[in-house]
Amino acid sequence: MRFRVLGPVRMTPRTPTAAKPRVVLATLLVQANSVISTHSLIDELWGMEPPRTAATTLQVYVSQLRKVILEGTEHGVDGGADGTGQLLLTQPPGYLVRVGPDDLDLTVFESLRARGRAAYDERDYAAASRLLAESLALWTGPALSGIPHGPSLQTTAIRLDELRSEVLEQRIGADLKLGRHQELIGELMALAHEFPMRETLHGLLMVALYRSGRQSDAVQAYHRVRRTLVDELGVEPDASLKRILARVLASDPALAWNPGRVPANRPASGAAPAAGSTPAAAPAAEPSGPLLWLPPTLTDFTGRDEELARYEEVLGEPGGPNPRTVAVSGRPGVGKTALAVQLAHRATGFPAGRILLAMRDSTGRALSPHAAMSALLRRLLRPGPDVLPADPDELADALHHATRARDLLLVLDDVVSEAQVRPLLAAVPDAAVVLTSRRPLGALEHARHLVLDVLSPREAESLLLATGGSRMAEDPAAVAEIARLCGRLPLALRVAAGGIAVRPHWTAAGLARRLADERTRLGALSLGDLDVRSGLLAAYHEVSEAERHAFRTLGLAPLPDFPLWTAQSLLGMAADTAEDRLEGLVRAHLLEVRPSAAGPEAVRYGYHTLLRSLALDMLTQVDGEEAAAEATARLGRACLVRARAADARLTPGRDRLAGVLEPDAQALDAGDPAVAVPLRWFQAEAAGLLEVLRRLHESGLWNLACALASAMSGYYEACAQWDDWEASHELALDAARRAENTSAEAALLRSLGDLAWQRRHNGRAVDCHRHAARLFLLVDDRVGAARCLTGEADVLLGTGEAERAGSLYARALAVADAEGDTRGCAEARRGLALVAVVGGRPADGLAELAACEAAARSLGDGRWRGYAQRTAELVHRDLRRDAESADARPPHLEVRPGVWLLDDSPGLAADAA
Amino acid sequence: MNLFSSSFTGPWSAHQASPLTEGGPLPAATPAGTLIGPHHLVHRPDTPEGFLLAATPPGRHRFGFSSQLPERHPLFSDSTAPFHDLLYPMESLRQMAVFAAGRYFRVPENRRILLAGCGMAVTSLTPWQRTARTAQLTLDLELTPTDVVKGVPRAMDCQASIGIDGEKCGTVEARLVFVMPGVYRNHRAHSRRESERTADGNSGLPAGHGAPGPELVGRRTVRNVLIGLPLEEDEESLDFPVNIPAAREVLPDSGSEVPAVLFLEASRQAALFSVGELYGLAPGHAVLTDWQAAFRGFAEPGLPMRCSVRSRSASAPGEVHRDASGWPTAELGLTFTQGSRVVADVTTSVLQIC
Repeated sequence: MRFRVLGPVRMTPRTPTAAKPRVVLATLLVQANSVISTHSLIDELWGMEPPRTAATTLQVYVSQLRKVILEGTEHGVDGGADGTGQLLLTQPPGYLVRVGPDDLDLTVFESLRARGRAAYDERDYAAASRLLAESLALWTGPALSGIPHGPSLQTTAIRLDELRSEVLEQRIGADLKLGRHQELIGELMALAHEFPMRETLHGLLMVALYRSGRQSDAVQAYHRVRRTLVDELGVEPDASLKRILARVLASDPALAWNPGRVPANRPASGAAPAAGSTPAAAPAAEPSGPLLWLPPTLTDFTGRDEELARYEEVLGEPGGPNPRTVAVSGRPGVGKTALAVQLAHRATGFPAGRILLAMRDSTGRALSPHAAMSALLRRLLRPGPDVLPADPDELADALHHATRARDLLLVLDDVVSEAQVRPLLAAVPDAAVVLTSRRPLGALEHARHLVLDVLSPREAESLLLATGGSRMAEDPAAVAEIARLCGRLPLALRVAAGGIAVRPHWTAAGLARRLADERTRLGALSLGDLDVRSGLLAAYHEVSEAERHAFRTLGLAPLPDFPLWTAQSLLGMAADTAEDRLEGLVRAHLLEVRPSAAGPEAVRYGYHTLLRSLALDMLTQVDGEEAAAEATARLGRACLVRARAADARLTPGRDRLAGVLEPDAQALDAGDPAVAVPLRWFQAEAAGLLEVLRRLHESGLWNLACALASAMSGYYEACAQWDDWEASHELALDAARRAENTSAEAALLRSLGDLAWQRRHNGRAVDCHRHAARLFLLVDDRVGAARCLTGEADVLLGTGEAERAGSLYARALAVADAEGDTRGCAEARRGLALVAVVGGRPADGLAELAACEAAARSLGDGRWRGYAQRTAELVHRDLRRDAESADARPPHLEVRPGVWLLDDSPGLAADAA
Repeated sequence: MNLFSSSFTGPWSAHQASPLTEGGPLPAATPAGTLIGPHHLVHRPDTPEGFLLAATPPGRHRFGFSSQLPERHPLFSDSTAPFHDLLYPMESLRQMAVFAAGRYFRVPENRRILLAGCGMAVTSLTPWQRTARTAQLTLDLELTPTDVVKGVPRAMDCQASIGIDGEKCGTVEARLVFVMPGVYRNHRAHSRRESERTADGNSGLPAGHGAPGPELVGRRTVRNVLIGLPLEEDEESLDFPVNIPAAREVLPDSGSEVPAVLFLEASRQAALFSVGELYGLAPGHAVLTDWQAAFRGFAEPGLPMRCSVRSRSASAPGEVHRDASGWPTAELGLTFTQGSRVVADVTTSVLQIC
C-alpha cells in the first residue's frame, strides 16, 4: 500500500513533512485518477484568501510531491500504471494522481466494503464478517488526519468516518449472526462509550448482552443511551431501539441467537441430498456438535425452584422405565415457555442437542402434525434436505431414524391439542420432551403434568425488583401492591416493571395507582408489542361461544371466589349445565378451581384478577349493561333466598322484611349449606354478599338491596361484623329512601341502632331507634316499634339508667305479648332480667331469664336459649358468692349474647370474675 | 415453660395479690378511680359452638372493643401534646385480655397473670390528635392461647388493631403468662431477694432529689410526674430514678406489684425528657410512635427503681433524624433496674410534631 488516507495521510516511502504538500496529496488521493483543478487545490489550501503567489506556490508543492514519489520509484516502489514513474500528472485544468487498485487504502477499503456488503446480503455472514473486518483493519485513525482540512477534505473526512461506522456496525451485525455475541460485548461497550449517542451501536450491544444471558444489562444499556439522548438532545430513542427493549423485556425467543439460522456452514453445491431422496440418508450429515436451538435463559428468571428440581430429575432419566415427557399447562402469561426453556437449559445430559419448536406459525395458527414433524426434522438435520417426504408415515420414519438412540431434549411450545403432537411424540420415543400448552393435555399417554400457577407473593416481588430496577426497590409497599394488582402473573409483572424501567418519571407508587382501577388495569399493562390483554384474549377466543358467554357473565360474580349456585343464578341455567360451563372454562385456564377449606361448598371458582378485568370488559362490549343488570338481579335473588334461609336458622323471627319485601319464590332443600350450616355459609359468603349488595345498589334494584341487607343483619349482629354491617346498611338505607319504602327504612334504621349500641355510640343509637320506631308506626308495625323500645332501653341500661330502661323494656314486652311477637318477648324479658339483677333483685331476674329461655326455645333460637341459661347460672353463682355482701350486683353483664358491658369503676373491678 | 429459668415474666397481675408470707411487698395502693370507664366487649364467634354456647375448645378468639376516649381524665387527659393517651388503649387491651382469659379461655381464677412483653405502634398519627368532639376508640382483638394443657392455656398472645373514630391508626400487643400461685410466690420471692442484695433505699425519689417540671415530661400536672431529675447524665445517656409511690397513686392496676403501665408511662416521661436533653426536641410537642417492652423479672414496689435512657441511633451525639414528613425523630433504648437486676428493656421512638 503506497498511499494512505484512512488515518493520518501518509505515502511510501516518505511523507512530506510540511502540511500543505500533504493537503495537496490528500486532495488528489481522495479523488484519485480524476483531475482536480488548480482552483480547487488553491481553495483547499488557503480557502477564501489565497496569497498572490498561490499558483506558483502550488506548483512548488506539486514539485515536492513528485520528488518524493520519484524516491519511492527509485526504492523499488511501483512507478505507476504506465511504468514511467510519473504518477502525479499535470492535466489541465489542474492535476491528477494516478494510482492502482491496491496502491490506495481508500480504494481497497471500498472494494472490501462492497464485497462484504454483498456477502451480507447473501447471508454469507462469515465471509461478510471477514471482508468487513479486513476493510476496517485498513484504518489507522480518523480519516485524513494530521492535515488541515479545507472544505473538500472536511466533507470527505466526515463521509469516510461515517462510512467506517457503517461498516463497523455491519461487521458486528454479521458477527452477531454468527453467534459471536459474547466476544462482541467488550468491543461494543467501548464503542458505546465512544459513541454515546449512536443508537444502532447501542441496539447491537443490547442484543449481544441479551444473547449472552445478560438481560438486565441489556435493559440498563437502553437506559444509558436514553438518558444521554434526553439529556444532550432532548429526544427519545428511536423506535427500533424501543422495539429491541420490548423484545428483551418479553424475552423474545426470536431475538435470541439461533444457530439454526446461520448459513455459515452451508454445504457446497451438491452436498444436499438429491431431490426425492429420502431423508433416511440424512445421518450422513449429522452434525458434529450438539444441536442448540433454544432461546437463552432469562437472567432474571424468578422462582419455580421446586418445579425445576422435580422435572429436571424426570428429564434426566434416560433409559429409565418412565417416559420423559413433561406437559406444562397454564393460563397465558404464566411463564410456561420461560419455565420450559429454563428447564431445557438446566437439565443435564442431552449430548445430541436441545431444540425448541413453536407449534404455531407466526400468525398464531396451529401447525399441522405433518408440518410440526417436518419443522423438527429440518432442525435435526444439518444441512437439511431440500425435500421431505410428503407421506406422513415416511416422514415419521425419517424422524424416528433421525432421533433413534440420540439423547435429545425437545421443547414443543404452545401445543394446541393432544392430536397435534401425538404423531410427533410417537416418532421420537427416545427423546425427552417438554410440552407447553394453554389447556392441560390430559389425554397424552405417559406424560407428567404440571399445571403452572402464578408466582408466590415473594417471588412476584422479586421479579418486579429484578426487572424494574432501583426505583422499584425504593418502595417495597408499592412493589407488593403492584404484585397483587398484577395477580402475580409473570407476564403482567414484566410489563409493569418494564413500564417503570423505560419511564424515568414514573414511580412504583404511581404505577400502583394506575393499576388500581380494575376497569383500566389491562390497558395500563401494555408496553411496546407486549400486551397482557392480547395474551389473555387468545385464550378467550379459543373456547366456544357458550363458554365465552359464561366467561363474561361470571365476571359479575363477587370476589374473591364463588360457588356453583352463584354461577347457576348468573347464567340462569340448571346446575348441571352451569357446572359444564365452569369446567370448560377451568380446562381453558380462564377460571380457577379453589378448594374450599372453610366454606360449606365443596369447591369454589374464581378468576385471576386480570382475567376478571377482561371478563367485565368483554361483558360491557359484547353483552351490554342490560344483560349485566338482569344477571345481577338473578344473582341478588339467589343471594336473598339463601341469606334469609340462613338467617332464619341463626336468628329466627328477627328479620321484619322477610316474607314482606321481595318474597322468596323458592324454598331451599334442607341439605342446602345455607340451611344446614348457616353460620359457616354466612362466613364463606359474607364478603360476596356485601359485594352483591353494592352491585344491586348500583343497578338501582332498591328493594332487593334492602331485603338482602336486612337478611344479613342477624349475622352481622351476632358476630359483631361492625364494618360490613355499617357499609351494607348505609347503602341499603339509601336504597330504602330512594324507593320510599318506609318499612325497609325502619328495619334498617333499627339495625343501625343496634350497631351503634354495640359500638357504644349511645347518642346515635337512641336517635336510630326513635326514628325507626316512628317509621314502624307509620306503617302500622307495632312489633317493629316495640323492638325499638328494647333497643333504646339497652342504651339506657349501659349508661346506668336502669330504671328508665326497665320502663321501656316493660312497654316493649306488653306490645310483644299482645302481638304474639315471641322474639320481642325474649328480648324484652332479657332486659327486665338485667334491670332486676343490677337493681339487686336477683330472684326477679332469674324469673325473667326463665321466661326469656322459654321464648327462645319456642322460637328455636339455641343461641338465645344458651344465653339465658348461662346468665341465670351466673346470677345463681353470684348469689352464692355474695350471700353476705351488701352489693349483690354482678361486676360484668352479658347484656346480649356475646356482648359484655364492662366497667372498671371502683366497686365493680374489685369483684372481677 | 420454666418460669425460673426464663427471663420474660413480668409484673402484671389482674388480681389482688395474695399477701407474701415473708418480705412481702408494700400494701396495695388505693385504686385510682375509674380507669377506662364503661365499655363493650363483643365476642366474634367463628365456630358453631362459639356462636351457640359462647364456649369453644382452646383456640383463637376475636373480639371487638368499643369505648369513648376520655376527655377529662386526671391521667389520660393530662398530656401537653394534643394527642390521645397511648396508655388508654394499652390499659384497655390489658383489661380485655384478663377478662377474656377467665371467661373464654377457662384460666382458673387463682392463676397469676403476668406479662412477658408488650408493645404499641402508631401507624397513623392524625386520628390520635384530639379534637373538640368526643372520640371513639375501637380495638379489634385477637387472643390466641398457647401452651394448652388439659384445655387450659399457660400463656396467651394478644394482638389488637387500634381504630379511632373509624380510622385504623395503630397496633397494640402483649403476651400474657398464667402461673400457679405457688410458682408465682417462689419466683417473686427469689427476684426480691436478688434485688434487695444490691438495692438500697426506698422506692421513691432519693431524699432531697427533685422532679422535673411536668411540661418536661409531657404532662400538665405535677401529680402525674413519675420520674425524678437525672441522677447521672452524659452526651448519650441519662439515668433517672422512678418514683414508684407516685406512680401507684395515679396508675391503674396498682395492686401489690409494680403495675405494667408504669413502665410505659415512666419510659415515656424519661424518653420525652431525654429527647429534650440529648436532641434539643420539645417534650411538650413530642409523642411516642413506637414502644416495645420485654420484661425480665418482677419489679418490687418497695425497692428503688432506675430508668437508664440511651440513644439507639448510630449517628453523632445530638444529631437528629427526620421522618418522611421531615419531622425530627429519636430512637431510644431504656433499661429499668432494681439494684443490679434488670427488670425490663424498652425500645421506643419519639417524634416531635411541629
